[in-house]
Amino acid sequence: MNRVDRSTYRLFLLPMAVLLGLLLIPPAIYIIYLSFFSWGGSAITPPLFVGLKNYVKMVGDDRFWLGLLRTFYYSGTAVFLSVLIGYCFALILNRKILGVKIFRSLVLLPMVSTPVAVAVTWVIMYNPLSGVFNWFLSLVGIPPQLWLSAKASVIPSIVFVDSWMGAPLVTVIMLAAFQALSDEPIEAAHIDGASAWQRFRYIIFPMLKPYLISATTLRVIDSMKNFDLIYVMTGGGPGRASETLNLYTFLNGFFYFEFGYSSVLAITLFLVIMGLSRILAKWRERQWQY
Amino acid sequence: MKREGKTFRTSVVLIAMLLLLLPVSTLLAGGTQEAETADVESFSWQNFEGQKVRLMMAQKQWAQIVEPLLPEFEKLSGIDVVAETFPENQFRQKLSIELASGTGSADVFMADALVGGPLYYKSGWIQPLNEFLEDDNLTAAEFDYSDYLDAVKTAATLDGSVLGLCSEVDGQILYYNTELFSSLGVAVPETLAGIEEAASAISTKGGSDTYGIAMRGMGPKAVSQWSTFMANLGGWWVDNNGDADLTSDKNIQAFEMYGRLLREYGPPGAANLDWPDALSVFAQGKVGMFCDAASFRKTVVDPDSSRIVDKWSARSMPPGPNGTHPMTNSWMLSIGEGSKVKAASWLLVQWLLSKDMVLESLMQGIPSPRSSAWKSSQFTSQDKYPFWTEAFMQNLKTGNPQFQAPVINVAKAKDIIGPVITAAIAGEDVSKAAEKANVELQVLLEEERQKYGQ
Repeated sequence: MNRVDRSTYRLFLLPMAVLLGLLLIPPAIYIIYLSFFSWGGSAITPPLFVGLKNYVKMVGDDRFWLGLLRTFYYSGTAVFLSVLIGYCFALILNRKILGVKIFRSLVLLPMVSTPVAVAVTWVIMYNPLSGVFNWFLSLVGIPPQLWLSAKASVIPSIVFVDSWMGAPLVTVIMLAAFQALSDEPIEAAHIDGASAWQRFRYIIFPMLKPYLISATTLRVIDSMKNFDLIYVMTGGGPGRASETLNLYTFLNGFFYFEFGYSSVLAITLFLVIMGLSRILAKWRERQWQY
Repeated sequence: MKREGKTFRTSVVLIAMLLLLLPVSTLLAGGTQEAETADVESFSWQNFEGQKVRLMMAQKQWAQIVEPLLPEFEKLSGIDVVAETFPENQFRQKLSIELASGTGSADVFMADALVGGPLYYKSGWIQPLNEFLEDDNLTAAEFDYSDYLDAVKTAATLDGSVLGLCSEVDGQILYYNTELFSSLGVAVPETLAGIEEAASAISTKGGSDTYGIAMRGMGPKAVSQWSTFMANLGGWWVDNNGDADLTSDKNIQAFEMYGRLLREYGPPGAANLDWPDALSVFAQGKVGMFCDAASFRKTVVDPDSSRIVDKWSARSMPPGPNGTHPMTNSWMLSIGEGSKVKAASWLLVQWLLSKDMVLESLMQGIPSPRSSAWKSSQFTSQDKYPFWTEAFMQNLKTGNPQFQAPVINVAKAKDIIGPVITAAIAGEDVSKAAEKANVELQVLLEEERQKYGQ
């Protein structure tokens, strides 16, 4: 690329860089600043400097630790389920079968649906009294379930919806991966007598790993910061059984008007997600070195 | 090379134009309304003609009545009203964010006199209405603030400042399905304990699709309804020293009773029931009793929403050992401190809450904050539901206006106490849950003592 091309390339990136910078950097700086203050958003009482008090409060806050644990539980199950479902859909869509184009459109629909509309719809379907899921169960003689109304089943119920929405993204990535797979090593292994499982285990899967890790990284970020599904479906209930760290952060900011403490929680969540993303990125880099 | 240089220069020009346009478009995007003047010589509905007022409402029964009537005000005053209505939960959150952001975009808004009102006032987000009420040039002669019920005026006043004007006063009553009660031979409860007997009988005799009682079960949302059980059994939020007292015997008894009623005799999924869900199940005729706001009568008698239009009745909440002290609440209309059209907003508020408008709301089932409406011949001669009126009148006499913990940050207190109710519904150890909540509530009380000096 010559000097003019590089300058043009940078110039075209400049507006977006400026816009992102204005949108991301000042709020981030403000949140870090606010984390050292106690402030309720009052127009009368200005923020009060409290130093590290909010950070100390977080360390001793049981609700924070429980929220963090629930976030890991929620994210872990949602990522596993969506990657598994997405991968299976990609395998199906990669075949030349009748109706594959229609199936492809249907599979991708959840990804483009509005999360709030999806959440409201699933709440209706999960209704223990009049919801369609319990009706299906009644047809096969299974007693009605409480779904979102029971502490044990609330997170799995929401995770199922999250996975339903997140699987198409994995499908798209894995379809691209299948297209990029080189046929030669697979054919060579086939000629050498490797079974289907051996071909998958020793050749195909290692080639797909970087793509799987990329898909997993995106799903981890999405699921760990998921807010709209949980807020609309349960508001963190019953009790606090579905209250993740992101929701707790929101409640502290906009329900309890503790913007300083809410900032600390937001920073912590950001660092956790960034840390996990870095670990996954390092792992993916190693996979490219085969 | 020449062509590449020309491309480069063109790119620079295009991008520079784009960057320059950004701040200009931002300036053009947000218009600002000129600051209004209150320098008027006499009262007239047209004093602020041409101004625009933004009205934010929660999707409550009262809002559903008045919203279609707003064009009448616009025609009378020449003021353009932009009305926005949201489901209650989303309304509370959206309003809080708008007020905290300080944009001044919320001119007139509904506010709960206990949950939110004091917090908004202490945060400097509410414009006290005293100066408007005292100014004859801004207040219509026929408005008559003295017509408001004393209890309602007290609820909307803090530190001498009138935070808003009540649009409705409301309170918990006991609705019951007369068809279920008579067909199953169950007596209407006369005591708090009798509620459980009646609920049990209806659930047992009614079959698998019939439930004894529906109430709010969604933790924080249920606290207000639970407070009636607490007060009727003799419990209270705090002890004589003002310290958290959720673990008292009477409070534990109230938690257990409330939870047991929903667990044993309520519809499935009670832990996630909010008032629209509980009301809906009752209106479908599946439930024997429903304890909640008197203003929900509007839905119960609506043939488009209810299957029990003429198969219901109501009574005041039955007394417990400590008498009857059902929760009593009021919603008010307030003006934002940041509003740039306060006088025009005041015109809208007093029109919406005039004697005629309040009477019209009462005729449609919204308990009136004005005494003239209750006494009017139009209401008394056409009152189709005297049992409802009687039930609500009892509420006004002995109701408990402190239906949430005595703190400013009521939202946090609800989130603290709510999980105890959830534990009770799930049949878990209520004492343990109450102990945990008590510690958290005590922390909140002490924080507020330091912050507000109470």
